[in-house]
Amino acid sequence: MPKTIMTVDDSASIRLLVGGALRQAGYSVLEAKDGVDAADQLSKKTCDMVLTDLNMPNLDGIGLIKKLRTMPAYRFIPIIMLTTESQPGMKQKGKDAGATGWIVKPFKPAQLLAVISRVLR
Amino acid sequence: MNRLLGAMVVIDHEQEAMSAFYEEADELLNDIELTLLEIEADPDSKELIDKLFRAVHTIKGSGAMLGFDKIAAFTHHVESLIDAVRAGEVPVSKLLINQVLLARDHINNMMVAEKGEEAVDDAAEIISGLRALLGNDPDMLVAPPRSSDTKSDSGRDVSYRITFIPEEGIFMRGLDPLMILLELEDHGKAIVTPITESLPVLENMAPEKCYIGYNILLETNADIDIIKDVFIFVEEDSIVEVELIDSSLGDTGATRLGDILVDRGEVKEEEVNQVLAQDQKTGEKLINAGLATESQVAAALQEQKLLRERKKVRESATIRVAADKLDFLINVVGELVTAQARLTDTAVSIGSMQLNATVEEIERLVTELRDNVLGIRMIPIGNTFNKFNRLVRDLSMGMGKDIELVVKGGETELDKTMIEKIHDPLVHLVRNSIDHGIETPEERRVSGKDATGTVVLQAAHVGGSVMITISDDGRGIDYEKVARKAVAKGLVREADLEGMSREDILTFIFLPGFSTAEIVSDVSGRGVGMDVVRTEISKLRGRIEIDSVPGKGTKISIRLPLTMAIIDGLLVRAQDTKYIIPINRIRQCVELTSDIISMAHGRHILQVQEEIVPYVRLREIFNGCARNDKEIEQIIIVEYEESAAGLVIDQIYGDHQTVIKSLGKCYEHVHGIAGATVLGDGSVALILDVPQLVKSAIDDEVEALEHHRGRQEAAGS
Repeated sequence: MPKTIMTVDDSASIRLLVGGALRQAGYSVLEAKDGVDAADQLSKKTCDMVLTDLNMPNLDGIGLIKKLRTMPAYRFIPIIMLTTESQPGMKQKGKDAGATGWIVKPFKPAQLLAVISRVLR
Repeated sequence: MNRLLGAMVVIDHEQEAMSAFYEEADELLNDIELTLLEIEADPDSKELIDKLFRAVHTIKGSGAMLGFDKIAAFTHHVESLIDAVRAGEVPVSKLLINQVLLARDHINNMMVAEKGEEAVDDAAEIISGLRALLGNDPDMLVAPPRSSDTKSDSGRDVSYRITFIPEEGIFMRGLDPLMILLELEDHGKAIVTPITESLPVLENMAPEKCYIGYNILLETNADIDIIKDVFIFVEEDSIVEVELIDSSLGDTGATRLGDILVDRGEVKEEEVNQVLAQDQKTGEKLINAGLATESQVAAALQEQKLLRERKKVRESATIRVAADKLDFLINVVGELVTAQARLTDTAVSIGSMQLNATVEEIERLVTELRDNVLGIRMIPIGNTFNKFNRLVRDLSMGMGKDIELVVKGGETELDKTMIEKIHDPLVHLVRNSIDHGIETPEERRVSGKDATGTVVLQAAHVGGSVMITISDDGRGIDYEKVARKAVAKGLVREADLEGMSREDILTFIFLPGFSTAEIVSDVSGRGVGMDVVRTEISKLRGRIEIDSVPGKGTKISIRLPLTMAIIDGLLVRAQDTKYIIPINRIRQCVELTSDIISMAHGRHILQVQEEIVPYVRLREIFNGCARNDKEIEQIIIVEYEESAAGLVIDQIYGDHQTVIKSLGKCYEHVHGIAGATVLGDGSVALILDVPQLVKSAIDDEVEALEHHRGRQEAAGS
């Protein structure tokens, strides 16, 4: 059974790029455009891992992580944040909110897949 | 085919993402313009500033991801400025709005230029305007992504001592220590010792907390940074220590537990000395004295074991021994084993307790002696197999092919002489695979295969033999070509080809002088044909078989006897002959009652638990005579391929250890017999090759069925 990864990003081009790369690597992909959309979808479907941008409207990455950690199905799944070098404090905020790890934008698909296989086997 | 489609899909989703970006950027640039004007009217709105920031941040981030580096670099300046506004460090002013609008226009120009592949000036003025507003120097370009390119391995195997004590709340962050341990294993061999001292009693244990830490000894050729990288998500909150074990620790002979604990920093040297004065093992003493924990000692013991093994490898003393002296020794030990078996039987019948005790001791010693002596001549074939890595690499590179060698079963042990003698034939066969078998990467892609071809060298103990297989996923053998060549060389008549099966055609390959290579390439050598290979293998009393599927690959199987092997078997009798069935093949013994026979309605099958198992009567296969109705038959259920089969015999005697003696050239073609042995009373028992026996019995059965069917059809028509 292929693993399912939810990608959350307000940029459609990123969702296409990342989603495409993940599908090509054999994962099943769910996409959401912000934290509200993600939480809504995840209350109805399940996934094995969440990949989320931090800067999004409506509910940002940190908010989404906090919310997911209160949902029983998602208390222990890996959540990886997409951070940028220009926001160093976010990494710690994310960890405090319960994020598993991070990957720094911009990244190559290969780097992303390496991080994913670090937390999802 | 999948790879080809895969490549096309890559282009698709990347291009899709790019087109999406153009649209997205357009929208965002529009938003930026509108938002800037709104901010001008309402400069204190935090919401609007955030919105502006997000838009600029997205253009920068997505742009960088998709390779629009210049745009990302320029946008970075704008982002820095807006970030400063967000933080309250820079006030909103008309000048600022103007400057950002200019910047936005420039980004737009850059986007247009990208689509049309034109150049655009580098807007140095705009950039300096933005920086001026910031008042200080922002970091210039988009910071390079964190390089996770693998650093080259140092090549040497080293050992790391790693301590990993996860924070209690590690599971709540979606992390699992097991993943980390598995990742370490990807890099080499890991010995993990848990640290259990923090485990509370059950009543006090919170199921979602992690109480166990790990001491890990990792043998790897990876750089220390690569190993530290494994802990990247946990190193800030968990205890992680990675240390290169000083190899000199083992060199000076210091593999004492106490020294190791001192080196690990877990005990003080004085404490060790103090405790050594008593008469227990160092580890125990330290634990009892409360100077070290059980886990610390356990981990140090692992290190000690590792260091001692390493030392042994470096220092191992060897003695040259004449091979025939060894053979003589092995023979004598074999007879000793037989004699000891008789002694045991005799002792049982005498029934004296005193005698039994001594006889048991002798049995134990003889078994130890037997195992040791056998072990002397046997070495793992893995050493030889591994030498092929270099050969495969050089050959395949020389031919412009991409080939990977996979070695399996390297721990399979063979007699030393056999390993030496099988080397050359193996080289020839591997060269064949590379030269004729595996296609070039282009050819392989066209046929939908992976560009990298695979050659598998595998060894395993099967029945009473060793099976070595060389298989490849190349183009297989062209039966047509072989057949034509055979006709051309006058080895067979055109007409005779008619009824020939693939197997028959393959036998031509073994005839002297037969070679289908158009050019005698340097690689496969001259004058070394498959016939020479087969001769060499026959000299070892082995057999070689080829199996090939055109387009899919070729598999060559070499079966070699273990002439000197002593195995554990079950001694049985069918009619007047005694047989030995290897114990490791046997599942269970069942009585063949008349009920079972009648339930099967004339077919030779019975039900064992959930399985339908076919059986054969040994007496029928070997002697061909009729049943003696007085005796109750027994069925030995043996493993056969993925399922089972039954061998029907008349009497079971019991366990019997035996030296396998080869039957010699006369009988080596007999299917089902692996060798023979001399029993305590001087009689000979035949050792069964179970897989062969069952297979040929099945084949016979199938043949008989078809023959029967043929007759029926003829009768009916």
